[in-house]
Amino acid sequence: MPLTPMDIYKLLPKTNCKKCGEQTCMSFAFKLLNREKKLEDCRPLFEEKKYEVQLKKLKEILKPLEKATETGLIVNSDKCNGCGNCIVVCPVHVEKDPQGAGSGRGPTISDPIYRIENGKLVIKNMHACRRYGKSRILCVVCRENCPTDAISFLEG
Amino acid sequence: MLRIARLLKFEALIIVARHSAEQKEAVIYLNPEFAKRSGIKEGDIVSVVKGDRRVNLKVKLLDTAPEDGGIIPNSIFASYLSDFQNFKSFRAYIEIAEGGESKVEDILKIVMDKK
Amino acid sequence: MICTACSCLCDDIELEDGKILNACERGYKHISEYRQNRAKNSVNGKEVDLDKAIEAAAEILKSASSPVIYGMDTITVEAQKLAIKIAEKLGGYIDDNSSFCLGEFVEAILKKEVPSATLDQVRDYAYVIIYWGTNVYRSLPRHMSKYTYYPRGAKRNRGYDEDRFLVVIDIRKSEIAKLAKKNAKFIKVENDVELVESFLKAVEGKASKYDVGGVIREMKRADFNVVFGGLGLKYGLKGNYGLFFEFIRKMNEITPLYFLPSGFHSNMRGFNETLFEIVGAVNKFSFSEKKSDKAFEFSELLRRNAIDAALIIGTDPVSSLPYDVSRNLMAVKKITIDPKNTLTASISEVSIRSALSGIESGGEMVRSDGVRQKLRPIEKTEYDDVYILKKILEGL
Repeated sequence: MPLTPMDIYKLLPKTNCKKCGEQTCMSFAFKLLNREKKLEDCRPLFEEKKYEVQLKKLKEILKPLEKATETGLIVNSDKCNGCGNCIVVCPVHVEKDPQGAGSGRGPTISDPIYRIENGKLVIKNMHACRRYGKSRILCVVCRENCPTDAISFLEG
Repeated sequence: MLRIARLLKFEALIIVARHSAEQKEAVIYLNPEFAKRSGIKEGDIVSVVKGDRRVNLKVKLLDTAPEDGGIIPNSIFASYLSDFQNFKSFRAYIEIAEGGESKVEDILKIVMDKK
Repeated sequence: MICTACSCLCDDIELEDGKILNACERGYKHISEYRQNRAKNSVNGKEVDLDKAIEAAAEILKSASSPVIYGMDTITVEAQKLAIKIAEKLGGYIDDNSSFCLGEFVEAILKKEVPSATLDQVRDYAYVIIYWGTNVYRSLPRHMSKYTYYPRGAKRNRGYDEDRFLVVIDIRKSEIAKLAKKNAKFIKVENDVELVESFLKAVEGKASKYDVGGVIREMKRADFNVVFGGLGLKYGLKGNYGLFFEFIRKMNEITPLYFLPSGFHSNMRGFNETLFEIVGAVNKFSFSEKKSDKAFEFSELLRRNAIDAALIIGTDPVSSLPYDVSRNLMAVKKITIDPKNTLTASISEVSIRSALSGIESGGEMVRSDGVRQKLRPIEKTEYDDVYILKKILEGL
C-alpha cells in the first residue's frame, strides 16, 4: 500500500502550531511525503514526551522514504526478473532513444533513466524522469507494466 | 499446538511451469487464497501426493498460481509426479508434511532404483 | 554477445565494467554462472581425460544394437549436423526435446501448413497479439518487451496502448495475464479444444461457450495478427492439432493471422530445421527404418525398452522427463555431453564436458521464429561440441 499524506497526518500533533513554517499539519504531511520537509522540522514531536509513541510510528512508516529516489520511486530487486517492460514503455526513453529502448533493445543513449544490470532493474538517471522537478507529472507507465509490482511510487 | 490442517488433505490443481532458472529447489507456489482455505502458511512443508508418489515441497505464496492449487517449477520434483497425459497440469493431494523437504538425491535414488 | 539462455537469442547483451547489461535475470544467471557446476570427463564415475572419455563413448555406440541420439537443443547447428551424421552412421534413432515440447508446431510451420512470420515482423506490424498457453514473463522474459507487445515498430509506432491489442489465454491468471488491461483481453480457459471451437464458431458469427467475437472483430481491423502457442496450448489440445491449424487457416480467409511457437531451449528450432533439411522430418526419426514415427520418440523408446545406448547431448532427461519414462534410463548405457554436471550426467556411464555455446564456443543458432544468429562468444575453447562429436564420429 502506498503511503498517503493522511497516514502521516494522523500521527502528527494536529495542532497547526506553524513552528515548521507550514500553515497546517496537513500541508506539513504533504511536504514530508514529497521530501521537501524533514520530520525533525516538527519540533513538538521531538520536544514533548506525549508524542513519543506517535514519533516512533512516524519514523517507522517514513522509513521507505529513505530508500526512495527523489521521484518517489522504489525498485524491489527481489521481485524484478529483468524483463525490461519498464524500460521500453518509458515515454522519455521512447522520445530520446527511439531506435534503442523505444524499439525494444537495451538503451543506446548514455544517460537512460533505467537499465538492466546483472538481470535486475537499476535506476541510472532519475533526473530525466517525468516525475522529477518542478513541472513534474505523476507518470506511472513503468509501474503499470511491471507484472510483479517490483516498481512502486510513494505517492501511489 | 495441533493444527487442523495437519489432519486434512486438500485436492489441488497443480500446474508445472517454468518459474525461475533454479531447478533444484523443492518448492511449490500456492495461491494465497487456496493456502488460507487449507490452513497452510508460507514456509510450511507440504506433501504433494499423486497416486503412490509423493514429494515434500516448501510452500511459497504466489498470486499468479491457479486459484485452486499451485505451481511446481520445472524440476525433477515436478517430473516425478507428472506423466505425458498430464504433463503441464494434474490433480493431486496436498497435506502438511511430516519431515523436511525432498532432496534431489532422494528422487534420483528412486529413479535409479527402478531398473 | 548473443544470450543463449532461451530461444529469444537476445542480440544486445553487453559486458561493461564487470556487469552484464540488458540480459534478463535468466540470461544473467546463464552467462554469469557458466563456470559453476561444470561436468567432468568420466567413465563409470572415474575421472579420465577427454580422449579416454571420447574413446569410451565411441565404444559404447559401436557395440550397441539399438542406439539413440537425444537432446541437441542447446548446441549449435554445426554440432547438430554432426550429431545427425552419427545417428545416420549408426543406423540409430534421433530425437530431441521438441517431441514432447513444441515439435508439432514447428513442423506445421516448416511444412507451410500454417502461415508464420518473424519476430521482427511482429514488432513492426502486429496488431492483435495472442499468447496461448504460455507465460513468457517466466519462460522468455524479454519476449514482450523486445519483440512483440511493447516495442514501437515501423507500422506500430504509437505504443502498445494504442497500436496493439493483447490477448492472453491461460488456465490461470499468469504474470502476462495481469498485463492485459486496456485494449486487451484475458481468457481463462478450462478446455482449449472448446476454445478453438468457439473461435471457429465466432468466425461464422455464431456464439458459443467462450466469448471471442470481440477478439475476431479486433483481428479484422488489422492486416497483421499473431498467435504465440506454448506448451499449455500443446497439451491443452490433447492431440487435436489439426483443429487448431484449421482455425488459423479459417481466420486467414478473413484476415491475416500468423502462428509462432513460444517457449523452448535456445536452438530447438535449429534442430527441427536442420533435421528437416536432411531427412524431411523435424524429430523422432529412425535411420534404419528411414522414417519418423511416434514410436521413435525418445520417451517411447525408453518406455518400450527399445534402446540399449543413448548419446544425450545438452539436455537433462532425468530432470525433465516424467518418472515412468526416466526410470527406464537406468537400463540403458548413457553417454552425456554437456557443459554442466546435470543429474543425467551424474549417473551416466560416460560423461563428457563440453563448452557452453554462445559463451565459450561460436557457431549458429536459430531463434524461435527461424531467424539465424551467429553467436559471438566471449571466450574460445577448443573442446566444444563440434570437436567432441567429430572425434566420436571418427571413432565409430
